[in-house]
Amino acid sequence: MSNSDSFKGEMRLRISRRQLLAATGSLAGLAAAGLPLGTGSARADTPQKGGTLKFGRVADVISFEPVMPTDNMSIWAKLLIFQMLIRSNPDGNGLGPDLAESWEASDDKMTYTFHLRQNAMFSDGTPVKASDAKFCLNRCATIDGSPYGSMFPKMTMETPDDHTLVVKLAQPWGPFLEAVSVHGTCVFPEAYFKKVGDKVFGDKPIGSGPFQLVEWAKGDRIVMRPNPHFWDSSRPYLDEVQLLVLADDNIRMLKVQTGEIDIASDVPFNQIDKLAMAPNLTMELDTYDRIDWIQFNEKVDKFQDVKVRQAINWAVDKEGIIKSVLFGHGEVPTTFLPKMHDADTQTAPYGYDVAKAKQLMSESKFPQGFKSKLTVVSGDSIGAQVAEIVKAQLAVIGIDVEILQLENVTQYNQLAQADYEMAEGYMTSDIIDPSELTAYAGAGDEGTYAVWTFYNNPDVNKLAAQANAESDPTKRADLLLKMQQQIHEDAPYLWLYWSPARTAVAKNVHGFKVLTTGNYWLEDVWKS
Amino acid sequence: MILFWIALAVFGPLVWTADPTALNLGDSLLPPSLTHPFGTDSLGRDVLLRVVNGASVDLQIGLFTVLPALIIGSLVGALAGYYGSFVDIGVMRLVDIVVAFPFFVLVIAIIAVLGPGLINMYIAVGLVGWVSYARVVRAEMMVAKQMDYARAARVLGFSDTRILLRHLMPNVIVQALIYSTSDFILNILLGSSLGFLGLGAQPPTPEWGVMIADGYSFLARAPWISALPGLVIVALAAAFSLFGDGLADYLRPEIDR
Amino acid sequence: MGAFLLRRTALLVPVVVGITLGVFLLIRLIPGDPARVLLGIHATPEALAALHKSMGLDRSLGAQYVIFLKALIRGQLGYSYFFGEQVVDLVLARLAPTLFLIGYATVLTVLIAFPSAILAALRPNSIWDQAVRFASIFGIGLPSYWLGVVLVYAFAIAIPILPVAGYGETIGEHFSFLLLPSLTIAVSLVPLVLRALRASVMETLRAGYVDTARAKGLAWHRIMGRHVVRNALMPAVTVLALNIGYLIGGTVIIENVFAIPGLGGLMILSIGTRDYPTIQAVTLVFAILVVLVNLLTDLIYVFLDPRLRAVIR
Repeated sequence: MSNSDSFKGEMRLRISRRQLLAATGSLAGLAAAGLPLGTGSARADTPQKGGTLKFGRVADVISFEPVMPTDNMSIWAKLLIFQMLIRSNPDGNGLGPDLAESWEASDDKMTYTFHLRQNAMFSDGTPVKASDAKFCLNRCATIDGSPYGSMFPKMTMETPDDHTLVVKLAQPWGPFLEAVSVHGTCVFPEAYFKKVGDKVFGDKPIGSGPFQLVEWAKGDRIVMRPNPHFWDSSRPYLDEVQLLVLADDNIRMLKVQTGEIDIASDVPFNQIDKLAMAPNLTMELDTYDRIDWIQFNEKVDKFQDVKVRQAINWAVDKEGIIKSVLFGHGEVPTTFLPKMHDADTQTAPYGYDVAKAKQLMSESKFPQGFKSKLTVVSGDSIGAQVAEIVKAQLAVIGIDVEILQLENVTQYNQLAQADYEMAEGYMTSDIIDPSELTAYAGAGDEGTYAVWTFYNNPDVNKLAAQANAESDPTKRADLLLKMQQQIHEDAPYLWLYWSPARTAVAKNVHGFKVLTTGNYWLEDVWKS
Repeated sequence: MILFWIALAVFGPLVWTADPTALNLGDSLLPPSLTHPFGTDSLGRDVLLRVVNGASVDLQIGLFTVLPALIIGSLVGALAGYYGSFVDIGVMRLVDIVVAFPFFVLVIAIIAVLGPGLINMYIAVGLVGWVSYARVVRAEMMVAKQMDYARAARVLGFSDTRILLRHLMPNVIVQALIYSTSDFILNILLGSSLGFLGLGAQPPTPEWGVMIADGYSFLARAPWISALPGLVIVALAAAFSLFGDGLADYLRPEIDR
Repeated sequence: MGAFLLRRTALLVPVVVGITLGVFLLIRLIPGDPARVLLGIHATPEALAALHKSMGLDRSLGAQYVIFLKALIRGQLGYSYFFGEQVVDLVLARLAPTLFLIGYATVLTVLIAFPSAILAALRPNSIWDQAVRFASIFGIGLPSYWLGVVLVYAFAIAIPILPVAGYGETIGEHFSFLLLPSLTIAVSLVPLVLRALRASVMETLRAGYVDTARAKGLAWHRIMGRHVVRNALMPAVTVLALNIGYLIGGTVIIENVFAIPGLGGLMILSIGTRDYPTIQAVTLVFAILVVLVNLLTDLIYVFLDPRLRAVIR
């Protein structure tokens, strides 16, 4: 306890000195560049130091443990504190440097060498060593129960010096670099972690990212301040970031409208237009790797017939749902993946064709239709509306759906125990490459059993494995396309919509954007 | 006034045969107008139509939550008050436990184990609702059994059961009946809170409480979705309140005897 | 008096024990494995088993309950794996906002209900009486979360004099941040209190001794203060006490809507994560609160009505 207090004090002094240096440095630099200082437009473009950013989110972080938590709140908060070797570019195309300033692959694409920044330091003042990166990457890929185990091939790693990490793959692996950019590989001090254990680390993390955790009032808020040892001394610009838990949608939106908070996430679809007109706010709609669906339990006989599943896909008016429930802010999916790199956008989606749906039903094993249950997470207003529409439209083809609202963990439990018939669900991608999600939702031989639909098509599984092993991007894209088209045919899900990230941002906050992976970089954000 | 509501519940759906659950996505979120006096909800359904259809649902909720609680609670309370000693102590401790028990936990448990839906909601409310009646009846019973007519009956050698049923209960149950009028409304409101959490009537059943909860997400954009069911519940509450007051005034002179 | 207190306090124990036992069993009935919630979808059976062991979930139900009781006697409430803290610390940190909210709401209820009831009682069936009773019906009829946000619209947006939600940092800020949520709770309690108060004030006014006092020439306000209010207090206190359970339940929803870091919010969080020790602890605190309030009510009764003092002796 006393340890952290004393070094916190130290931190503060260092921050102000560094800030001063950085500020004068940048001013001098600007003057040298001949840019006019003090004019209105220049001031608007020049990041200003200082300010507290209050960010209202829907729930709290569960833990800052780097690998295990899979909830987005934990992941996106964690990414403010840690660095990965490489990370995806904000527009979803390509990878850029983070902890590693450069890297190269061998010709056979089986050996990768990462060159770490010389001046990267953890927030406790210790330098980031290649051995730390090795420990973290290894842990992410191999630890028992890691959500990312299937994203990596077998690897051996070496650290020829403190700032070089060499990774040798046991087999070619196309999406290797993208896999390395997954947040689970984030780098933390091996010694500190081993000393305090993962439980304590989850509460008191130390990373080399732009911010450090200062205070965590569980269920209420998280306070972060700049990492005084951050490798780029000119950033972050903010003095403080507060992540506030504001679960109620109405209250969260009201708070950003009155200026009590600066950013409000997850704007309800029905308020997007209203907030877009607010004079003090910018309504940010960012491309987001997310897809929503209703999944079928293929252990239940009704859903083992592909014609039934296809019929259901034809029977639901997805455009109608997007228009009335999402107020037009969405797209009909053409594949089982979110609209991301290598996603199939060519295949025609399942449109709204009741005649075709009825035709398929009559050809199926259940021409008379049947009764079924659809579980929805309680408290999810969008989900409830979608469920009611689906119920009404499936009734037309003879399927009588009973809607059941269940509490979150209960519903999740049912999924894991295959105790459901139809269930609403969604997924987001943590990397810009589909390999995470092909394992999660496409291949039936992975630990998640295709999100517990128990869909298992050996051809699809083979294609997924081949795509992972293929290093040539064109060939890989082709394999992925074949895989997506097959899944499209098999229709293990009723695909509903792709939707954007919806954030309300105060007009005096600059540089904020939600990445396609759902997270945000705050080191470039500043307030005027 | 109550008769009005009952009539509405019974005859409303008969007269107005449109389907309250039919979707009309093109017409969603229309503000009140001539064709839709109270607007439409997010799925294009006419709010007034759903409210009218919801009348029978909500009256049922009120009835099926109040009746079992009233009957069981009154019996338990009467027995506790009449026999006193161990029965009384045991019952009152049970009452204390139930009163302090977190209802929220109980509801979640029941929903999680038995599944969501109205019937299970009745069970949850019934498990907890009998308590107030028991308390009221017990208090009345403790006073009533000392009364002359009760003593007379005992002296005359009537069996306990006879005394309880024929002589004491009719007097003792009055307060409970008065309380039931407000309990009715409170339970409908409980249905609303549970609907807010998704644990009550399941979609697309038109139930006033759930309609308010659904409309809550649209408060900024379409306040009329919640407004009508809310007003209707308030009106019903007023009706029951007046009814209860009237009942109390009517019956009170008898008690003072 | 002392013996009375002792007896009543002794009766608390089985009640509290009963509640803890009930909750203990109930939450284990709910499907959902706390270890799985913590470890995520890819958790291996070995990892789950290991976590079960450290959480103490591998023991029999009876053994678990005994461990819980033993810890309780020592003043410990267990360790929460989700929050990574001792549950005692967790609960203590969140106790203040909830107590503040409950107290604030009670005070507001009294402040609104008393004058209204007296006004209504003094002029029964007048326009004032009708208006008051009508207005109070709205309090019953409208759900708390809805009313809460409407109040926020009214007093934080349309007329921006209060903050939207949260708890604030200083005591002064607590008062302003909690005003709207407390008011929301108060509005739902007022109708209940009002009814009882109005009836009892009317009855008191009708009673013989008020006229006697007036005949004796006592000042009006003295009559009101000493006789009317004192007698009217009892039913008000009864109603408030009877509804303490409802009041506490109300804080659960209100705290969530208004983002107040209190016990109600903790309850919802811990149920959602199947955090057994925390659920048990919060339930315990709520139960003790209810029981204490009832005890307090009994004491106030005795204080207010000298006739009862004879009874308990």
